[in-house]
Amino acid sequence: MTTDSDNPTLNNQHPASGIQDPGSRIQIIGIIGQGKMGTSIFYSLLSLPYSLRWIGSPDADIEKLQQSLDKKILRSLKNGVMSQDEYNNLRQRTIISSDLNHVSDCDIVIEAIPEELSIKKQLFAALNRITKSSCILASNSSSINPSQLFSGTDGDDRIIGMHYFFPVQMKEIVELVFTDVTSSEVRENAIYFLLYTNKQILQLDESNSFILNRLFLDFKNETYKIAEQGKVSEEQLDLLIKEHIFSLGVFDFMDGVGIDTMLSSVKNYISHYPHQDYYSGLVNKLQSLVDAGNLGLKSGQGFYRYQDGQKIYPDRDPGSIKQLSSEREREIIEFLRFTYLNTAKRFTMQSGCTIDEMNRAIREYFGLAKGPFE
Amino acid sequence: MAQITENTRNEVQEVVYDFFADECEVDVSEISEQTNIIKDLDGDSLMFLELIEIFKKKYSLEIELKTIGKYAVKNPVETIGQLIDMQMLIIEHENHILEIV
Repeated sequence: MTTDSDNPTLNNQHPASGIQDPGSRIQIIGIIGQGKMGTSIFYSLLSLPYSLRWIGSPDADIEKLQQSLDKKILRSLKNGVMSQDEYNNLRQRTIISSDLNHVSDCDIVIEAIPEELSIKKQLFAALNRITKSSCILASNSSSINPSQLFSGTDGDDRIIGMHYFFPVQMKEIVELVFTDVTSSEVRENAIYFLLYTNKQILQLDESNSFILNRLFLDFKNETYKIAEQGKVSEEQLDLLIKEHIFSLGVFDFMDGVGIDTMLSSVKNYISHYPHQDYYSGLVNKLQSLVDAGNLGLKSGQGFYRYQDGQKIYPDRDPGSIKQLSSEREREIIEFLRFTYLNTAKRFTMQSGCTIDEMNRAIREYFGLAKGPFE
Repeated sequence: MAQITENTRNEVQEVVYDFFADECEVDVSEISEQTNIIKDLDGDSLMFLELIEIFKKKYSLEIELKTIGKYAVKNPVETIGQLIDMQMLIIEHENHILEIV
């Protein structure tokens, strides 16, 4: 285990972002969770001069995580991406473990465990006990507000939402969610930390949290309503969306994320909405797929069918998708575009974000060349 | 901008093959341009990012990861051959890769 004396002092200015950072405020970072997001957050911070404690679940294969890191940094050394000094320093300042006590000296802990409220609440209760009182407790949850994660009152001023997007190294946008009681010191330090790590912040309060996912949810919901009518297939809709609006289809996306994960996220998002009936068609469809064990790509069937990770079309030739009339196609594209723009406008006005912020965030989120208002 | 020579593709291919052989613990002879990165090698985005860092260093490239991310969303890569082709475009066009029609 490294000690505080091993911690490198941060330079005042980040080489890429140019952000002046006080440096002394955050030097030791804990990352909890060895899944896709936890791993991506860990590796995104590895090249910066922080001390890192990466904590896996009790059943995680810690040795495998360590071996994987060792192999990567050794290869970086071999390929000249990293110097011998950087290699030695990185080994000294990184701990991988399943023992949560390793985060006791952290300045910020970022949680990235599965989206289950009860498990997250247990974790945050433990973190509140283990960590020092100045440590920021951040959740990478994509659907649970930070104030839901904590049942006590002592320490709730240091819990925030810090929602990264995958892959973290490639996506600069981070949704930063503060609660009504988040302290000003925590707010300031969290903002400094994200800017220093070269992220663009979309700062939101809890009533407008996870705005990008909510925006996409409304688009998915409208698209599903068209599919539900039975006159246009999911595949035809995905093709039109990929060609004219986003770079990914909504049914492809839901299958890729996992139908069960989508269902629990949608339920979390709409839990406080006054008009939940608006989403009932999509929720019922996701529920029926989950009940049938059709969880998307990972189970071999969701909205589509898959074999060895590839989409298959058992009932027809893959190239023989039924063509829509050009007039019908144009109507659907216009309707979907209108839905996208209208939803973007509504969320922008609700959130208090500027048009520039939303354009930038949506460009990043969907990998688009232009935002909705450009 | 990096100088592309006849040898560049061979260099890129060698680095890519060696990388996946090492990372995925397979013999380099088992890898070909047709090898599917996810299906055959259980590859992931971390491997892709590490390869980009290697090429950025090797060819002194000026390109942001988010730019590559945007390009990759529009032009997904499945096989080793497609990955080599994308690396060649990155080396050739750097931050202007999104301007390729």
